Amino acid sequence: MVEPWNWKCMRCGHDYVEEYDPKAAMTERSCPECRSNSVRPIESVAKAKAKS
Amino acid sequence: MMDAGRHPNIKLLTYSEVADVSGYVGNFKVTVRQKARYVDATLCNACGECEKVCPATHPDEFQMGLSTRRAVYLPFPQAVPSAYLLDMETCLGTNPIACGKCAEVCEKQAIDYDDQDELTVIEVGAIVVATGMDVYDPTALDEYGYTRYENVITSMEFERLICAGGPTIGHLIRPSDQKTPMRIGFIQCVGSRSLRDGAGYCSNICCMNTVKDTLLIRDHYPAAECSVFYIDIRAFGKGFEDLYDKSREAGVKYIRGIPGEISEIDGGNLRLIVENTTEQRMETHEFDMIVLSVGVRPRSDDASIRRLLTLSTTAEGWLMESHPKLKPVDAPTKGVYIAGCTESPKDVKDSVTQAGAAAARVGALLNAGKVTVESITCHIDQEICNACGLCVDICPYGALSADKKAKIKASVVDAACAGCGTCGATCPQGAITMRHFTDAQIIAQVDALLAEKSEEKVIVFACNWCSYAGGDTAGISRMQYAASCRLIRTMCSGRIDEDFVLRAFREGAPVVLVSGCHFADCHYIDANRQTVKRLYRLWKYLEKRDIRPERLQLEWISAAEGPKFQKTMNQMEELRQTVTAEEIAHTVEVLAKEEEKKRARRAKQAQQRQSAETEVPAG
Repeated sequence: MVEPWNWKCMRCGHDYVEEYDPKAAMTERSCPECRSNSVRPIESVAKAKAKS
Repeated sequence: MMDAGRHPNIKLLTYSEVADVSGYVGNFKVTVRQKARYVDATLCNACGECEKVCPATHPDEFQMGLSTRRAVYLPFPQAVPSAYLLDMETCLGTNPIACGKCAEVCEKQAIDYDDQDELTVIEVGAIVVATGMDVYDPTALDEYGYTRYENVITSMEFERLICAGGPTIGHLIRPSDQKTPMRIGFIQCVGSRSLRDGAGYCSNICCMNTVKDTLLIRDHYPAAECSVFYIDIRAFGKGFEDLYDKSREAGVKYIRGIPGEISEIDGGNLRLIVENTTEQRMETHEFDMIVLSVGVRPRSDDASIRRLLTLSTTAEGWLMESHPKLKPVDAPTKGVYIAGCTESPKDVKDSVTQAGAAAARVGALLNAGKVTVESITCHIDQEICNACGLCVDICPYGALSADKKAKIKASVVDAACAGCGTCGATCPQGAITMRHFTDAQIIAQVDALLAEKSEEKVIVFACNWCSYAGGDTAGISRMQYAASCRLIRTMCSGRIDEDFVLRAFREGAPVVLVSGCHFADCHYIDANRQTVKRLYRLWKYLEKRDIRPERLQLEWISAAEGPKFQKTMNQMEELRQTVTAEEIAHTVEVLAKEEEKKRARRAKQAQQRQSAETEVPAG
């Protein structure tokens, strides 16, 4: 299911939110700040909220 | 079409669809479902008597719904074979027979209500995919009122209206009152070049189609006024600019600007508001009829063909060629070729050119009688394979087969394997060896590069086709980049095993970069998607062990991106300088312990396997 996820750039450290579905076909992603492809999904926003 | 139908070496299977494809280049087995047409095509002589008595009607698809057809019908006048078919959805019913008039009047007794779909298996050496495209449906664009206003039509509907074989026998009329429209407006780029409608690309054919239509109108109805609203006219082909000039000379008005809204006024006439961007003013125009020059879309029902032939698509959904310049009609799967609008929007001339090229490629392949494949393919050690089937799931070419339930171990068809190495990096048992890019060869390179002053090195895994070539581009352009970056070439980034990355860190590498082709450029269909999944896992793995995940980097670099290669390498060097000796020592220690555990686990598994084998009674 596509839902907002927290993403982190492994190059510049920028944290941002972008839609992601771990089961769907992958798309090429890049950091909105530095354009690096070293971006990583941390966890879904919903899950993060539930934790906090 | 007639020529193809009569050719002794061509067998046309119309009203059919591909149900399954198996095999590989030179040895494909294609299962075709021939749909029941309920009329025996070998007996039908297209006399049309059945159509005359058929009481059931349906909008005629060929005439874009501008006229109707009967339940028993000829799809279009030039259809091959020239035989009727019965549309069971429209027919009043055959179980029990509700009408049966078509069967009563058919002298040839060609009507067969009990006809069934038939599956035929065909053995072929090569496959050409030419499945065409769809036309954009502008109903969603509320501002143009398509389907709300009768006199707003699409360019495809207009095409049928002015065609001699169309519902009006070529007489131009407008739908609301069947009068000849004397003021006609054309709106370009409807469903094209607009990200709002999901198609940022140019549909290629619409501009010249409109130019041709306006010339036809002016030729047949000299008093008719034509206005074309456009973003820019793309008349790039041979003779196209001349045609555009002729259209303007014939009095067609070209107004730069895309209308914002259409509204209906008295008597079915239409008013549109547009910003004339040449004269920078708002204008209002009135027309008798407006034609929406609609763009094209990839076929919505192409998915099964893509899946069966392991084809990949662009972000918009057009089929990807193997290489845009060097192999423009080859699909990434060997023995499969693409032609026409399934690859990208194009006109008849370009489609014919591409079809000719595809036919020539097929001819060259089949006439050779044998296929030379690259020696870079995978080899499966049957002793080690445990038939888990992971490699089968991720192979982009469907070259591997295994059966987990039946415990049939993995095997590979060398002719179908393209040598990306993704299976080798995925196999948890280490049963797959990539010829020329074996684990031992790559690990030996890692070890050699880090044998001395490892803390001063950045290990860069680069794919052969893009990232490594990007390094070449940077090199031949004399771009200076950090000397600490040491490249290890693999055919695809999908080959980069998690163990290679961990080995580099264990040997003291401060930073590891994994690089490959951009998604759209992947030379192995979608093998580099596996790279990303692996990186996600590795980042998590490193983080869990208190190793800074930022030390592992990922970058997609194309062969043309020399400057990006240079910038990335310099960034890696900057990152390397932030990694302390303590960090490296900690990483080496942690990963060495992990390796110990892994070895112990594997030894235990091997022992268990061995003891299980010895326990099996002989015979």
